[in-house]
Amino acid sequence: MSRLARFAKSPLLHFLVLGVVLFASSEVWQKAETAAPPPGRDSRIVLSRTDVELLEQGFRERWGFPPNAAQRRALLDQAVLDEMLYREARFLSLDLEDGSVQRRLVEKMRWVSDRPGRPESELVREANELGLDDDVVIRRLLGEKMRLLLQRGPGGTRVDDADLQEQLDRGRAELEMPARRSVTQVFLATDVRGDHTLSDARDVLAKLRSGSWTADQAGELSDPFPIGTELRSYSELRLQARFGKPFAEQVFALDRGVWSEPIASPYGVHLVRVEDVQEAGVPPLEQLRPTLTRAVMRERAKENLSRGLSHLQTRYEVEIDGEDSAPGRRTRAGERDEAGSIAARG
Amino acid sequence: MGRGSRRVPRISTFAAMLVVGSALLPRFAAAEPFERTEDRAPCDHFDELRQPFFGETHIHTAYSFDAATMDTRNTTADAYRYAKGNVVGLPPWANTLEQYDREPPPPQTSPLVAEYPYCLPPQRCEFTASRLAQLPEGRALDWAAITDHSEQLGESNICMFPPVKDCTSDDDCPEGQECGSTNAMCVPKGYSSPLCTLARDELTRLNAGAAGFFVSTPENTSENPSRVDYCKVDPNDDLGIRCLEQAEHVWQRIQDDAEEAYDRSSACTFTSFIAYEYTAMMQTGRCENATDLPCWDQLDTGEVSVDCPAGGDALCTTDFPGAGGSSNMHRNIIFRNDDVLPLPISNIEAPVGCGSGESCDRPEPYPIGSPEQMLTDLRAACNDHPADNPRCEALSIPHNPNMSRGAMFLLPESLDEAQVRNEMEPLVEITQVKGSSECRFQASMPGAWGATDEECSFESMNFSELNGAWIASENRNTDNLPPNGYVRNTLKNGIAYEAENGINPFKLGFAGALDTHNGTPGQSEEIDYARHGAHGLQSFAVSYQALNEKFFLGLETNGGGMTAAWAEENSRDSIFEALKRRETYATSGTRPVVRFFGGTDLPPRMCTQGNFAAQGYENGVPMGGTLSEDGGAPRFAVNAMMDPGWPNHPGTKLDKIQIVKGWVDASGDTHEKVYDVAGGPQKTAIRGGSVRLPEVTGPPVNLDTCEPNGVGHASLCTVWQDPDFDPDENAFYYARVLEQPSCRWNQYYCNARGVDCGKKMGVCGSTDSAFNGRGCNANAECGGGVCEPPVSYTAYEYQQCCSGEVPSTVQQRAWTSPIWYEPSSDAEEDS
Repeated sequence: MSRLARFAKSPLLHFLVLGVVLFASSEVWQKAETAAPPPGRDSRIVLSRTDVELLEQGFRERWGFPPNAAQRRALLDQAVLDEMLYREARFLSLDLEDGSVQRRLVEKMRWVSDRPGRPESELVREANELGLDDDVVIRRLLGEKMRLLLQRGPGGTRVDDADLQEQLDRGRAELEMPARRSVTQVFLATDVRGDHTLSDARDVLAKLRSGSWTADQAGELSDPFPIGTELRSYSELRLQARFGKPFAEQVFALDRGVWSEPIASPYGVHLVRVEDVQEAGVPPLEQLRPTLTRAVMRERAKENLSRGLSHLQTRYEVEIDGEDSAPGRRTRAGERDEAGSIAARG
Repeated sequence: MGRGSRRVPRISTFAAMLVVGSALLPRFAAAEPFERTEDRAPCDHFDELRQPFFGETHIHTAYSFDAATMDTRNTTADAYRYAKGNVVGLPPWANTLEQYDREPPPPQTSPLVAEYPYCLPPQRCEFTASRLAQLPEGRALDWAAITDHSEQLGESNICMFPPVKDCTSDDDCPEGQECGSTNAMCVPKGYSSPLCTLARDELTRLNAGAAGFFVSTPENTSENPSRVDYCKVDPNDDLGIRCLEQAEHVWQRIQDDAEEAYDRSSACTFTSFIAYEYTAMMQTGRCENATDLPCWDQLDTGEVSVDCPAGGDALCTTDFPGAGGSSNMHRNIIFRNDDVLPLPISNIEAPVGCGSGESCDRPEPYPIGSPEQMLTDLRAACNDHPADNPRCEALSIPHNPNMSRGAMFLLPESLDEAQVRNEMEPLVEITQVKGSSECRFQASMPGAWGATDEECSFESMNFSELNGAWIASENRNTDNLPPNGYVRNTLKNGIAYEAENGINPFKLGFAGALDTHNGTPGQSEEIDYARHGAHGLQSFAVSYQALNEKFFLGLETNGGGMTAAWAEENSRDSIFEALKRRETYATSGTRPVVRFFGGTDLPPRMCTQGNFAAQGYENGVPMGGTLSEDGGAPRFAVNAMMDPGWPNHPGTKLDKIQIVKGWVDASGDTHEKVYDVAGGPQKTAIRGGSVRLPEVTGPPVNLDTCEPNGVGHASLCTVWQDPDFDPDENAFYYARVLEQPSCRWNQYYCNARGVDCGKKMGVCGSTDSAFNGRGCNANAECGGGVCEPPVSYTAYEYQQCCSGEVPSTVQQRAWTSPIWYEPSSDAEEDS
């Protein structure tokens, strides 16, 4: 027998070949397992009597009284929604490669495993097999991930000027700029002119009305005033802050371009000419671009989430403790809460 | 020839263009008076001659630990709403929910930042405000920086967090929270620690104190500060990671609220600044042989102090009048725009050191008891524009030097320290609720603190330290209330240091602020202080503290001050640069408008010509500026207008304008002098000569109604030249504008209770007809009967109201930032 032939019959070789074959096939098996499609959606959600009681008890402890019908409904709807989001997230395999989920699983395995020192990927795999991935923290993590996914919605994140304009139109009241006036004022101080203040003012007024005075020229006639003789773009409240309310009201009642009768302030008497009028209104789009963009994105996220949740609900059947099971839930209150609570976190 | 002649016209045209172009250049260079570091519309009201914008630089909300323990529920968002003129609520809070109320269900998610919801009557909710606060019409602030205590942003979020979400296990709660064992609700980890439990417990006893102390001792006043135990995630955690994580959430919320409040449209109605307070304090003693110097090693153990002047065998002792508290080293840090640090630099990260603890071993090269490390770190992390924060800029405003026992403005130990203080601290908070720090005057020892003007007794507090013992009048001297604690003396020390070393470490403009803990920025009027006090539940819910002069938050406090910045427009960049260049003035709470210029070439008739401001900027420098010209004594021009008041509440007329001068002579000694330059009982000249204003006689304010009677000046203007000017001496000048007397808050408070100190406290009720019905001050006067005060006040209130410990009226005032004068040879050395 040749040396090769003898070697081919040796038990060692058979042993080695067998080992390689087994090893290779186990690898294939493993790969096959991970490549298997995720389980189908379990579309039946059940809240047991115990679940419901626990929720009610929690409410009582917080508020000191039991929930009324509407509050109870909202509690249950919230619990159902949480469950839906979790299941949907599992169905979409959002847990694969998710860092937070992995961390949680590794933590747990280190607690329960007899060999906690193994590499993390192994620990994760084993945790999944043991069913340790069905725990409350992971549920919450995946539920939030699902919410974020829904908020993004099918559309892109592009916001164009039409969207911004619409947002501007909707929020007009808060974004509105006050009416403002730019004025030239000639000031006559009571402390300087005493009893002559008003008559001096009439003299100056006559002079002003008889000629055409630029703002600079008119300013030369004024007693010194710390904020000057040219007041640019003052709102009525700002005029009130500097001169008092009667002055502000009278100035805002003036016509443009003509010198006023003497107007009193705590300091003396003023002759005022309105140079420019800005009516109240919303600022141009350009000025508010970042603010409006943020607002539009927020609104979109809310709408997407709402729509996404409704759609989600059509895929599930819900049974609560003795109530009739029905496809989806008309959780209107739950939706608002959902969106509302997102906004609060936002 | 032809070519040459053709070329000549071209050169001429080119030359003409050059000439025209260079003539235009200065105009283009001047087109942008300040750098714009953010993306926003320029303001419609832009005025290159600048305008006054009134703002707040120091206020605490529910995100400050001590405010939360005083049951303040106003957050930064509420504080901005108040600043803009809306109504907010104040404690105490009443639960007005009915048992089966149809409230919507509570939110199911546990928020990351403590929420402090409340409602205003007649709404019903768990926390209904029993008091309301609102600025009068037309008195909304122009800008505000909200400054919560940076050390405890996280600690507070943990302890004072109101639970909203129920849970069955820790897993039901967000990251960083756990399910509380006593209440089955999600709370931040650390919530159930003994310290936090104590803090919440104190809330119900109206007596904040011990819990805050147990937090502030390790974090704010200890030699080597560290975070409290519940901040640690494991025993090896030196940083207190749990609290830092929580602090990030709160700091983010502070930024978000500031962004919401900031008006970026061209209307520019309001500006918010992102800010925080660096709350450093020292637990110092004082040197036996140099009583104005703090010492901190081995207090009272009989060991000689290494911190006291060499050559002495001096002990470091804590046994002196006014001891028992902490020396204030606080600063307010304000950011220019939204490019801010990821977390504030608090006392824990960059301690001022010098507190209680085993030994004094600060790491080189920073001196003990100095802000140098913090300012250097802040400059490196922010102002130097590192890659992470390319647009960042911050400034620091020290406050309350009057309660620092002289430690706030010790002379720098190195030029580096002088340099960083000069760069990073352009302003000082010269007045706030806890007193005025301008200067000090006592009739019992005039001139002891340098000042001889009686106006320096304005809002003087008799506490050497925060939470220290009240100093009785016989013990008040420069040992216990060191001159370094006052701004005027500090300014003098600053120019003396500059004359010697070439740089002024205390080149301080002035800011005025509140430092209240109600979350109500800008609430600086005395009448409001009488209504609301400053410190939540602790103030005004019970008068025993408000009227107690021996309590450092009691009778001697005042309504607080205000800062006015002269800026081109109401935007962050414009106002921040005004603060940086010190073009600000502080008021003691009211809103007069004041301009101040200095220059050799100021026209002497500036007050009779038009365009006061244009003349000032063209021929001199404004408040906060520096003169270093040759050519004779500079002139100073001041123009002031009284506060116009608001509906039903007229402003108080002006009394006079003074200019305060400080200078250093050739031998290095400093001096000061106060000049009356306008107003006063002497009437200003009336144009035209003959007719004067009618004389107003009688007291300037009616004590019963607190209405002014019209004496005084609505406006004042003057140009003044220093008669004692010496061009070789470093000097500074600032203007002080005084109003006529008006009621102090205690007068409003006591009037509201019907206290009349001219009458006896009560009436005898006695079976003996000889005594029955007689006025009395005590039972002893009623011959066996009882001396009954009326229903509206108590015996204690009468006693304190009539004690004379504080005046019934004060003269509110404005202080402009100084104008410094440097002899020309110095100007080159100054950076």
